[in-house]
Amino acid sequence: MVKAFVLWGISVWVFAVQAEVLPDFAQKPASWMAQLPWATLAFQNAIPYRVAFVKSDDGHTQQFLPLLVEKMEGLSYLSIADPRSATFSYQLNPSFIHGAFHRYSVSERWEELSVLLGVNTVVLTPPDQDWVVIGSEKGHVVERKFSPPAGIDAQHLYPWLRDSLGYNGVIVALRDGYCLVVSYRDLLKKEAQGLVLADSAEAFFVEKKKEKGEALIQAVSVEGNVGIFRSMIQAEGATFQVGDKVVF
Amino acid sequence: MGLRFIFVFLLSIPTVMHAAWIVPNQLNITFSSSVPIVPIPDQPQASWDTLCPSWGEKMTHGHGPLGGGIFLHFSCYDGDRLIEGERVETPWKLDIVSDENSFSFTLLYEKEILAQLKFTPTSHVLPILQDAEFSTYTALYILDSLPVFRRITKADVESAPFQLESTTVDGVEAPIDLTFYHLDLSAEKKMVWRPQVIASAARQDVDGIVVYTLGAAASKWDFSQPIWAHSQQGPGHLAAIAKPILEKKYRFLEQSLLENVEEAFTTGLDKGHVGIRFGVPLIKGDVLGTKTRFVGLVSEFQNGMLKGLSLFIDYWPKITNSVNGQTASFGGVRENIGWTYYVAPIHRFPTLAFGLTPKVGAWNMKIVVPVDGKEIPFSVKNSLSLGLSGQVEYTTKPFLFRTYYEKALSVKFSFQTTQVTVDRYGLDGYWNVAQMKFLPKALGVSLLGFAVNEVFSFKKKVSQDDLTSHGVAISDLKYTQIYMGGGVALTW
Repeated sequence: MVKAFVLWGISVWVFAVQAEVLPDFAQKPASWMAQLPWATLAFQNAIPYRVAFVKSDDGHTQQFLPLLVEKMEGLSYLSIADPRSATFSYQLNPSFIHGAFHRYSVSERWEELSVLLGVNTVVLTPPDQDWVVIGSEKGHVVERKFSPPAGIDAQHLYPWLRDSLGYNGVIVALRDGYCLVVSYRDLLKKEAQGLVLADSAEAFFVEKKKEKGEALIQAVSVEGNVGIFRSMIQAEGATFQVGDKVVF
Repeated sequence: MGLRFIFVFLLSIPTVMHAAWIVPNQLNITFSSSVPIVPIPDQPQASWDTLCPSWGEKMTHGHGPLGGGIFLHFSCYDGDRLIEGERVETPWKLDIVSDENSFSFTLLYEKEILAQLKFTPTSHVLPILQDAEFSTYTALYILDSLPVFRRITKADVESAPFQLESTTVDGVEAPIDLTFYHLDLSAEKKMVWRPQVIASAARQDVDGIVVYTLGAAASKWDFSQPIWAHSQQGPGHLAAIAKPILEKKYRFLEQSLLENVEEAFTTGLDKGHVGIRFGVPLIKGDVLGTKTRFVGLVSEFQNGMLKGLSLFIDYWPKITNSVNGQTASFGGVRENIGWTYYVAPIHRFPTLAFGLTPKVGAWNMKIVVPVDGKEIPFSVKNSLSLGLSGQVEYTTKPFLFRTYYEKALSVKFSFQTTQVTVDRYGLDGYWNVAQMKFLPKALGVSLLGFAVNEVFSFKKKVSQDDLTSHGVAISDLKYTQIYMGGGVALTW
């Protein structure tokens, strides 16, 4: 009986949302996204933004996973550092780089790569070992180890990354009750619904066992890997923040 | 670590935000020198005004060594003075500075040094800048040190095969692999170059011509933004090869220029000469001086192992004059060999040089003067002489002027009765006229001019024979000659 009531309530709400006339900005997610200082926003709010997949370090040069970045474009809000450009960056900035990766700390690696390649997420991919995801939260470098994916194409890497991070969308802007969410093209379907995770705004990793929803949101408009959502159900006292993580 | 990280974290934000494709359209080349510049004799006098365009050319698109060059325009400055191009503000600057500490080339983007070459200080900066090989290797070093080596145009890419090398450079091979890319500069806090690689190309030599085969593109060719090429190994590899060649070239230039200039300081004219000159007396009314003549043979060596050697033969034909029925006479020959040590404290041309010449010689001279009815001779025969001459030379090609003072004396051994001391001062002039068609190419002709005042002081041990009928004897005699004359010399 209660379930039926809740479902009725949601249906009524969805109908109401669909029925309402969306403001202009809420109809154009890509346009809203383009207005954001995206890189700054990502660095300041522990939002994965650009990823470098570091293959190995032979002591002199840094090698990057040979990804076909062009084929991955548009599939995710995350941009991937092109391995050829990344390698060449090391050639062009010899005075900046520290030297062999193994000679300095994880945080120094992150610093170097973030400045050199503009990334804020680093994935170390040593062969036959667990992969290490490195990011930053609250001004500190954080890292986690994960079993490597079965392949290094978009079909394997993005799901693996989503699992590793513990979320697959991030709220990047709020306005007049609407929130702009970045995610992955395959997840952002029309009327997609997502769970906003509580206390996740400053977290780079979200552990599954600690996941706790604070609101249910539904897409009102979607373009590629960005969508505009409205809250369907919200826990009492819950407020959305830029950086809040979302699972679909 | 935390604070450090926060700092870097904050630092990294603007670098991510800033995205500006670099467009090095304009290069400003500035030359300044606080060291006096020494032009080289026998060479056209180079000036920065005339040299700068060739330097700018080597940095521009497609005109540099190995096809390098990135700038579309350049302007030249001598200090703040614009001498070529337009006064345009640009972050790209090439500063060529000659000071007492070094001779340096610095390529700057804003205040960031992207390439720098430093050499030992030199006074011959313009002749060095004039050297084509030196400028080629320097341009290669600078361009290869930059994050971009040359521009790539649509026509370049569409040409098949793709040819990079337009000018070869001895000793430096074109890169084995090339990378083509757009380049973004993040320069808010820390200068970081961020390339977006488009493709690479592998070198192949076809019939001795270097061409490149394009590989698969990593991203689209977008000619709306500048596309650049550099060795796949990145900056500095060709520069590392060019640098020792350049340093060797610099040392060679500096040494050869130094030798040229030193030659100029010593004579400013030639490597040596042998000449003959004739002098007539300026003194009027003197018993002997009016009638005497002077013939001199002079030879000086300004180069090679004999550099500094000088030979002089001065000959006074014997003349006589009657004084109150008695005869006065003078005649002699003086042979001297000298070795000149030069000091040129001011490396400026026209220049002054100071020289010191010790001399050794053999003198034969005799003067007879009537005294109290008796003809009293003063003579030295095959007498060893020692002398020291100090001179100042002013060289302004094709002229050399020398003024000198010399003190010399004959060495008086126990078997000799007379000693002569000579005080000479005078002015010599050399005018390197021309090469004569009938002479071998290495030989030329100079006209010589001179004026000299020479005082001979004879000191004699008086003997019985020297006494006059009145018992008078003369032990000391001063005889002054003033000559002016000219001559001709064969130079080599």
